[in-house]
Amino acid sequence: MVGLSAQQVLQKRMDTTANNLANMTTAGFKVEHLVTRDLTEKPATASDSPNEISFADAWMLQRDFSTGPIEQTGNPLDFAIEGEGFFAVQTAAGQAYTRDGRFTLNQQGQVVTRNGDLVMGEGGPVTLNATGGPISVSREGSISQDGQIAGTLRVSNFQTPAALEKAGNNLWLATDEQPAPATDARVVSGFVEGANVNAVKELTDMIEISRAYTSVAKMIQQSDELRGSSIEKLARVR
Amino acid sequence: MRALNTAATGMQAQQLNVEVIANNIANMNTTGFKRQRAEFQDLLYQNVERMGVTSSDAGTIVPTGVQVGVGVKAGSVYRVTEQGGMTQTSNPYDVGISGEGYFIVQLPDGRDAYTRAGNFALSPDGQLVTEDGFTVAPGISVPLDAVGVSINRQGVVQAIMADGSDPQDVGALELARFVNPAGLEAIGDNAFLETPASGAANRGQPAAVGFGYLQQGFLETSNVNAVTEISSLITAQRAYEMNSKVITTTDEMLRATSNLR
Repeated sequence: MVGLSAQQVLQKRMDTTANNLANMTTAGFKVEHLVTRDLTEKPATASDSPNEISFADAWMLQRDFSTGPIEQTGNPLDFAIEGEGFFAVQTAAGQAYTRDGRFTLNQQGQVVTRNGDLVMGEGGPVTLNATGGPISVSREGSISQDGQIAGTLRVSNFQTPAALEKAGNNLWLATDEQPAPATDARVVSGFVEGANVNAVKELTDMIEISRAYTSVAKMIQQSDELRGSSIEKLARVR
Repeated sequence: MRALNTAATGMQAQQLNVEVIANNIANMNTTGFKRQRAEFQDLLYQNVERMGVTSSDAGTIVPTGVQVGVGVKAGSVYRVTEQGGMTQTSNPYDVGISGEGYFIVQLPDGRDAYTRAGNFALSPDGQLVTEDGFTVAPGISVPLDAVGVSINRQGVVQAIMADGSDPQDVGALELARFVNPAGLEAIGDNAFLETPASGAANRGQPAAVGFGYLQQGFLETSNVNAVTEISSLITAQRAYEMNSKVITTTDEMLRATSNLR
């Protein structure tokens, strides 16, 4: 049973690693690793087994929020955040947050994400004049066009960003904590933040998981053989 | 195990990435070509253990929970409408746009198409047409006895006459702008159609506010950068390999399970 619990956890670790590697080229993706813990079970009576049994259990995710590589794209509506913080996005399901700053304009000239969700500025969506001149963006996230500030991108931060819930489409949802304006964030235009996945770390993790899995399988097999041979011996004694 | 499918989505994504890069490299010398970029998004997450649930009787809560992602998907293939370089051709009917805007071309079926490729020519009856013979809007005909044309920055076309008289105004080229040029639909032959995503065309005179100006005798080259494309190709190939490694490793784990008995 202990072996089985270990295998289940190893499978989940493998799933997480596979997801990290699959998202190696996803903008703003944050790598995560499964943290396991012991679940100690006391035997019913001391005579059953002298030792405590501990099961492995998937406990929580360790999320790495370090900034990914920032790549130049040449598109003025691509934004990256240097430092901590998230862009605020208004989706049909409510407020969401993202580190993926690849925005575009919709028909009304509003700044939207690639999925068409409105990107929130300080005080509502940011609307640009489609027929106006080129835009420029300050480090604080204010977008100006033709010498006038059209809006300022809202950058929010959380005390424990690891507690955010991933919702897919590069979006995060707030859980218990309410967002606060980010203090240590600079917005750069014309750049996109890549995933902070370290391929070497993930591949070595994967090898380790696979080896551990195989050896647990061997252990299960051996304990099965042990049980089988002891039953055989007991039968012979009779 | 989810890892098998997750890695498969990763391989599909990288395959798309390589296809897009291949098209960019193939069009490196296409006039007015705008490079594309495959963009990815993470897929849904499965909550194994929800964040914020109580983890003990004392009221401590799980800070981050356990969410297992199921892979990646192609979010969009985005066209980067950055300005390409200008090369001098000295052909009087070659026109490059420096800045925003598209030439408007009338397709045979009556629709308008939009293009950055300004390699025009004259039809047998003196009409200014594209390489494929489609009329360039708003329709400019050069007199048959003209010896040359001059196109200025504002798009005004003048015919230079053989008898040395003053050049004649024969029309002006128009440009179209879009709210979201990345939302245009490419139909091949360097041409695009407007879509609900791009917004309606906003027509105007070249060199007006927000519009680019024209340069006669120049063509806009593609904005593909070979070095960037090759390095993206290497990254994509490696990512593809790593995802296939995940599949073989998962397979080994599954084999270990099936060998139990």
